[in-house]
Amino acid sequence: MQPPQQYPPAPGSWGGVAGARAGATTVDEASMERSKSFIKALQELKNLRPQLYTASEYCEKSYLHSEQKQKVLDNLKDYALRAVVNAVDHLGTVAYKLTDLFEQQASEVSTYELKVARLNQQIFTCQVYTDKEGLRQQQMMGANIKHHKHYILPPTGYKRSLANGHLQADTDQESKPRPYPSAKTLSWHLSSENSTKANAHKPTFALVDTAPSKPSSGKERSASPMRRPLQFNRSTSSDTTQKVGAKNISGVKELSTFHSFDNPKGRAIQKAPVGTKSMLAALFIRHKSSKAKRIAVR
Amino acid sequence: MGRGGGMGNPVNVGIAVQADWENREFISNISLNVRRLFDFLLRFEATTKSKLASLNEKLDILERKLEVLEVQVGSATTNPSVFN
Repeated sequence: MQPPQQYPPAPGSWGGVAGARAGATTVDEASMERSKSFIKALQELKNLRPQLYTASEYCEKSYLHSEQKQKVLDNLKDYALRAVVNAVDHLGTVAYKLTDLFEQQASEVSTYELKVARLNQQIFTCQVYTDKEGLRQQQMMGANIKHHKHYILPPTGYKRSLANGHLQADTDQESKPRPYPSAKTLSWHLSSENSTKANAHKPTFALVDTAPSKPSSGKERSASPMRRPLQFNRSTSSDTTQKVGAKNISGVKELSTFHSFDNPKGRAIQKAPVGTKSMLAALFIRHKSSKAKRIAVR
Repeated sequence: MGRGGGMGNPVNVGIAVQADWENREFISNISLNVRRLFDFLLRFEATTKSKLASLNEKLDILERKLEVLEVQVGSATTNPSVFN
């Protein structure tokens, strides 16, 4: 039996028409031809098995029935070797074609991966664009909100509150001398301090006036238009009457002592009904000043 | 006669021994090459299986990505206001 003949692989028709479509069709045809050649080689490899079994049976029979066994043995060895070589060759061909087909499929898969990545990138770009557009719209809305009336009202309200506060202060100052109200503590204390200062200045001036000349001081006191000075003049006139009585009774020192004693008593009597802290402070100040005068006299 | 027979016997024995050694060498070579072929087939099978597995994995990943893309494109087409 002759060994089976080897069929050469079908050559691929690589020649084709130029151009993208022609190139694409050529590539497709090439891939199809590769697949077909692989299938054909695999089929031949499958068919090789029964051929080998047939050859082995023939060799066995020829060796048993022949008389020249040595020659038959040598021939059979050569045949077996060639058969094995042929089988190995077919096996290698099939393996090579399978590997080639696998590489082709892998390249196609990588191409598809690149296409999918491109689509993902495009969708991502669209999303980024939509996000930026949304942010821009929000910024525009934010710019409009700045000019809304809601944010303009507080400053005007604040100014009005300041104006109202000033008006209230004026009203407090106007109303203080008459009823001595206690609407606001701070403003009331300020006005009371001012009044105490005025009162503090007045008695010293009065005392200085009364010391040198009695009738002139009396006239000036009557001439003053303010109410408080008028009250103070009245108190001073009563003091002068007391002083005259004192002179008639005792000497100069005794007169001065009585005068000093009479003054604080009269002041205390006049200011007792007011009963305010500021007045008490003024009283203490005047008391200190009178003590200083006593020391100076001594 | 005896000498002639004795001289013929050693030569025949030597020839027989040489033939036996050649046969044994042939058999050992054949068996060794068959083992090599077997090893090649095993390695080829292993590499081919691994390649196929990796290719299958890539294809699965591609399928999932395509499904996601289809969903995104579908949502975009159903809600065009998103892109306005």
